[in-house]
Amino acid sequence: MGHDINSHMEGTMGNQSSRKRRSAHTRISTAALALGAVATAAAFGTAGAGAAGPHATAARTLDLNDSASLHKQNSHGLEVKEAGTAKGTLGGPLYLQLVLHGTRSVTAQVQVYPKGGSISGDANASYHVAGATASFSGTMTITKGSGTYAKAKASALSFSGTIQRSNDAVTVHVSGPISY
Amino acid sequence: MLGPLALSCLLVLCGISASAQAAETVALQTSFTPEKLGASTTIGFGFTIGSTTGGLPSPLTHVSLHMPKGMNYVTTTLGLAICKPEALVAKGIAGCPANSRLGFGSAFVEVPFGQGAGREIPEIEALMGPPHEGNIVVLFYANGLAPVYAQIVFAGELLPGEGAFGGDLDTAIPQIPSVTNGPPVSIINVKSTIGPEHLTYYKRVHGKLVGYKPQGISLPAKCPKGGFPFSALFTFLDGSQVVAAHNVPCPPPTPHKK
Repeated sequence: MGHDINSHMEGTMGNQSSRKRRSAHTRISTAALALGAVATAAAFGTAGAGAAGPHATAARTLDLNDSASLHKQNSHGLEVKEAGTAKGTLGGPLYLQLVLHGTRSVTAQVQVYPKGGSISGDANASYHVAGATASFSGTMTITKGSGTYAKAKASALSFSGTIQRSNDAVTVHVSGPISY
Repeated sequence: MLGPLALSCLLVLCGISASAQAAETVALQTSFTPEKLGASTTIGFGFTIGSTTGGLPSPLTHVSLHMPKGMNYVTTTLGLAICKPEALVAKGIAGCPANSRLGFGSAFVEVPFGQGAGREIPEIEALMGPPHEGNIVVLFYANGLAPVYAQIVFAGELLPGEGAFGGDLDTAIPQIPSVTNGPPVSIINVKSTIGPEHLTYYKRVHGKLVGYKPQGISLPAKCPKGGFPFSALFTFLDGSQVVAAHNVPCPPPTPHKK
């Protein structure tokens, strides 16, 4: 039986990062927070909706910059499932499902489980083979999140990596701004 | 009365040049070894070129081989090393790593000195070349013997396929001189493989080189209705073009084990 990559969506949601974040927020002045909220809302095109509500909360942003070295869990036909641990801004267990299309393109589903929640995304990339290594490069969109990252949003994140063709070991790198 | 569409379909099915002046005919043959759904395979392809007039066909200049979609062209471990064309030209097959070999074949050519002057090119090697604009490149090395004494390197580029096809091996064929400064030979027959059959790759295990069979291009788990379609467009020196097609039939269903 193949391992269902989506089963990892049921991960536990810790609260450590939430506490850290609340602590950090107390050190930020009200003015700076308000300015940041406006800037963030404007950047993600939600200024109207976000500012209107009496209980509106500012979307938080971070510059994602995570990499992971993955090993093959299994493959079936044109699908390869990989697992490993991401290091970087979020960190945590990361699962990648690559689906190859024709000779030059790949789609991927990514799930990462940082402390306090999870983030899932879909990616499209071009694919190039060069001897022992293949590489892919494209963009990723966050499709959903949970816990701390329940409202995670991002599109056109940079998504790239390499595949060692002899054993399907993958490195993957995702970067770009996300709001949550 | 045949309409224009029906006529062009007949020309394509019969592999006859649509050009009024051309007289080339082409028969395409393709195969999988083994022929097992979902498994690694070796693709065999070959073609035989003839002439409706009985004379020598015009020299071949270009072949675009369309291969079926659904096949796994990218997770194969064929071509883990890259053969550099300059090394291939300088040293022949010895100039390239064993792990760059993709397949092999042979050809039969005729020199334009009259009928029956055919010569076999017994050695054609297919190797992984440096990628071009991100596309996989297959280098072909043809080692001709007298009187067609020529070592020729030419390249095919694996382009994304369209429609029923998943990949297109686009290959420009150089002209092979019959004699120095003489007219080019006519290719009559080519057979080649792309796949692990009869190939041995090497990897280092605990400091020792160990031979192994690479993973080939995999067939999909399901066979398309009507089999696996191959099609090829052949272009000749006289400007004529011929389309030939061949389907690899679906393998018989594997009996379920109880």
